[in-house]
Amino acid sequence: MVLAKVLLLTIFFSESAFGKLNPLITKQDVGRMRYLSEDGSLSIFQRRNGELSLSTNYAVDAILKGPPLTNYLVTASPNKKYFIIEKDENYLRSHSIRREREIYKIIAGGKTPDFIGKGIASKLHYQDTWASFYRPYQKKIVIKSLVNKILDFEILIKNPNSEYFIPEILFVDNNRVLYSDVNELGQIALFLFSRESKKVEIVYKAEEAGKYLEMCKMKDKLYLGEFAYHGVELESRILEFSLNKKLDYAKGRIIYESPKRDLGNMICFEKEERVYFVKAFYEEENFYNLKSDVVFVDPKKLVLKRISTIGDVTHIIEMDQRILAPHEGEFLIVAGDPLKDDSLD
Amino acid sequence: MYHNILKKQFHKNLRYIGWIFLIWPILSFSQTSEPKDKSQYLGIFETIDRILAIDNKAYNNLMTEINKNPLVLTTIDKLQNVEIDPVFLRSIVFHSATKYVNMSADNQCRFYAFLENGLLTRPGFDGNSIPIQYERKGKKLSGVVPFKDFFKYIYKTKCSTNRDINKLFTPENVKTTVNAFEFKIPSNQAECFQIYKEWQSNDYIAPFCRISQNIKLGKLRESQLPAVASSDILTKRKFKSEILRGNNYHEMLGEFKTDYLNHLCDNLGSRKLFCEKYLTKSFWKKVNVLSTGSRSLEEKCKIILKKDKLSPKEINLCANKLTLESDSCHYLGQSKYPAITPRPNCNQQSTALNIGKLNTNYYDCPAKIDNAGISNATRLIFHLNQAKIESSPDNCDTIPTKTFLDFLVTNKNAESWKPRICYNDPFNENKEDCKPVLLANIDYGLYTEKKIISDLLRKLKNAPKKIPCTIASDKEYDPNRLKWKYNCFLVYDSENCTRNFCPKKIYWQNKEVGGISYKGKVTFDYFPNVIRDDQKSFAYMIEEARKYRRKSIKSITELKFYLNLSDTSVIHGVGCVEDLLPGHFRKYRMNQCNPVPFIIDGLIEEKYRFFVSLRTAIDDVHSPRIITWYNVFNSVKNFNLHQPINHWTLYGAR
Repeated sequence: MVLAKVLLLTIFFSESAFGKLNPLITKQDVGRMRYLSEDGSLSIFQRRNGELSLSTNYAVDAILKGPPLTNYLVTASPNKKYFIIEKDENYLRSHSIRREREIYKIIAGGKTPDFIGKGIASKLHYQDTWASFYRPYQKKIVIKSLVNKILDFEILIKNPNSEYFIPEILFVDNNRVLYSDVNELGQIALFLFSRESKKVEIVYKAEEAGKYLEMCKMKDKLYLGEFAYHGVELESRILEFSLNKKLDYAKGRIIYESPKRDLGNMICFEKEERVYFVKAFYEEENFYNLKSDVVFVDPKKLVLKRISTIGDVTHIIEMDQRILAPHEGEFLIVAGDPLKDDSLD
Repeated sequence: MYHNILKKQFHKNLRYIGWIFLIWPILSFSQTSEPKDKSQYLGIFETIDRILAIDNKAYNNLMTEINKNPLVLTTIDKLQNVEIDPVFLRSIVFHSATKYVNMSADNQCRFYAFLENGLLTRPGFDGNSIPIQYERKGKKLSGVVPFKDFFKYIYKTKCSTNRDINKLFTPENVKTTVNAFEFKIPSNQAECFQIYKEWQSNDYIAPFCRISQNIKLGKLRESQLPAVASSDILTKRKFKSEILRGNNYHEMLGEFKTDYLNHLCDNLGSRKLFCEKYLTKSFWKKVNVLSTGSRSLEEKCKIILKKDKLSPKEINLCANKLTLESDSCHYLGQSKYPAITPRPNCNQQSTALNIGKLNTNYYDCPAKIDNAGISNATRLIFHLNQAKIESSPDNCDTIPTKTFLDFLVTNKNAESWKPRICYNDPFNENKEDCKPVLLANIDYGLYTEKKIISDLLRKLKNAPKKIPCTIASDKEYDPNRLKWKYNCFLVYDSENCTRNFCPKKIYWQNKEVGGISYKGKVTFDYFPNVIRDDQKSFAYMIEEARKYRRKSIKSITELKFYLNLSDTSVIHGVGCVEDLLPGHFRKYRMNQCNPVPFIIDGLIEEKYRFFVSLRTAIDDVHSPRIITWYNVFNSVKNFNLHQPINHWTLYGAR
């Protein structure tokens, strides 16, 4: 494998980002929020009575209804054309990690959702023209066209004995879909499916077992992260590929590499042209004494910068031009503008 | 003070042996060929080779001399200045294990004990007679006496304790002696050093190590016996006798004491090696794990070695592999007892198991149970009851599900079990009647699915009593084939069937039976979600059953305190699986939180940071993880946002 030079070397701490990150302040109880637009004009939240409500232009409307204690998840993309909603009526009582939720699509700002299927891990792709979700018991990736139902298709994955595995999916373009799968030995692999030819080709297969892949796009580049699961002591890396060329793993440019396990959760933040993820900082030689914080890597300058120093960040999420880190019941703003506080007092 | 010829000669010989490697042979009894070039220094192996040759020659010469003039002395009492022949003495010192030589260097009685028990010996020495030297009319003469007579003679005048100890180890008394003896296991270094020191000065060490040697010899002979020619009756008889003796000792001692003695006698010369086994950080190699058995080790070893029954030696080998090849644990056992993968590596599991205390004397399979609440609840029940369950891949899901249902019934909460088979009762104005059912292919009294359907068919369709019903998938069921034409079949949609909910179509005499339906999924409150339903929650029921007060854990101090309360006290909770296993479950939406129960059973503190031994309900029960306390707190706090009654879902249980 021909590797580009790894130029990740400098980790420096900026005065302003060192230490605390500001929490997102919302008018609603943040625990009920499911989506908040950058300017705060549109929000989706759930109520204890089982309703999912949309608040916009000073009006509140119920989008979906369910029995009390129904839980909802809202998936959005930077394109903001559609939302995907997952509805879970037995959220607190079912206890099945793989239970399928009812999945709906709704036009952003609209009030009438359409049922599109049952599954988990729903996502929006390619300028909100596609939605995908995963059916764990059938080991099936279901892809729904948000333009024309006729175009719907499914991809079966092999995954012989990793019952809790959830594949990563990414649309390279309108025709090609990248997805991950795992074999009986636990080796992760990346496949490219072509809608036109209905053929699948393998792009990459990890040599060692115990790793997972993450993908995101930024302009004409694809970023592929390779990280180890908890309990597996393997290296981490992020590679950059050009989407204008044939995907060849050997020709990927390494923009980040570490001999130790990181947590991953990559986000390609196009606004800043940076790749954010959660990195592990090992205090001692043993495997468990680590702190985890948000960093970003600038693919052009090949610089890594630590954003938080909390020590136990596990995830970052992207929500309308912001990156947030859920932490102890709050959402800390990692990147993007905080909401303006327009309260009277 | 111990001053006698033997000691002087003994030390002289030790010095000779020490110098042998530096200075060319100075042994006066031997006739050696001097090297042609005295200044030539031989390599160490070549030196040993030469020395061995010298020693053998000297010994053979001695035996030849004695045999030329055999002198069987029956009245050894009348001899003067009897001592072990110096050539023989030198030879056994040279050939014997250093540990025994060192231990007897300054203790004459110890020396005789080791010699008598065959621990000081040389090749070719049969232990029947012993060469001696004695004086007559000022002349030193050599002879040979029966081994036992020599020691009878010695013990008349000295080391009579040896004689008394020998009586304790006769075949009639050895069992009593061994049973009365305490084989102490150290729990820390200081203790271990003390125990080692005690053994070093223990008068019983020689007969104990003889027993250990006999056991090992028996095992060796077992492997050698098949290769002995059938015509070689003498050798066969000898081997069989040694095997029998070894097996008898092994049986008398049991696995633990056998292992203990073997380890002790193997490492008498090194305190470090002796203690390493007890103070090893590797869970897999801890002596109590190896000897008393541990399910965490057992199943892994069965898979690695591809055998159902394992000998202690095989388990030992396996333990070494797990210690050295840490990655081998990631997918071990996944096909038999499916859970989330990859599992933590062996090193991490070992660290967690070392500090943990959860009783795991069974196997379960969370992926098959497919209900994290039931998995966690039954693990807690099994732990608090210190249950030992004979489980297998065939029943690893049904036993926990059945145990949970038992628990609900016992705690007068059977109505919490939601899965039901319903029908319209024609004898009751067609009102709907529902019967709770256990959706598993096992017999469980009134909850047995096949029995309920069979009874309903009799009631509604006049079917014969107790017709057998078979459960099959829609892919298997083929009404066109004779096999499927008669009797009762419960056919499920393979795309719509999980452990929690699996509705079936019922076929009787090749026709679909209407009017019977499956309703309700396995849903229950692990912790209460509504205040008025507190008594229906599992947490409440377990507290009532075990009679302990509810104690929520909100800080590391409380966690530490609670874990130390008793041998069975553990912590159980519900948190966001994404925060506990961030690689396995990625959070990418606001307030995304998939609740998962977990159990904490141990704690490590390192430089003011805290780490817990934790199993989520979807982890393999024998593969715990080490997770930071912060991650656990974060997980519970994030789940707290979803709690309708703002419930802090982390509690102690004991």
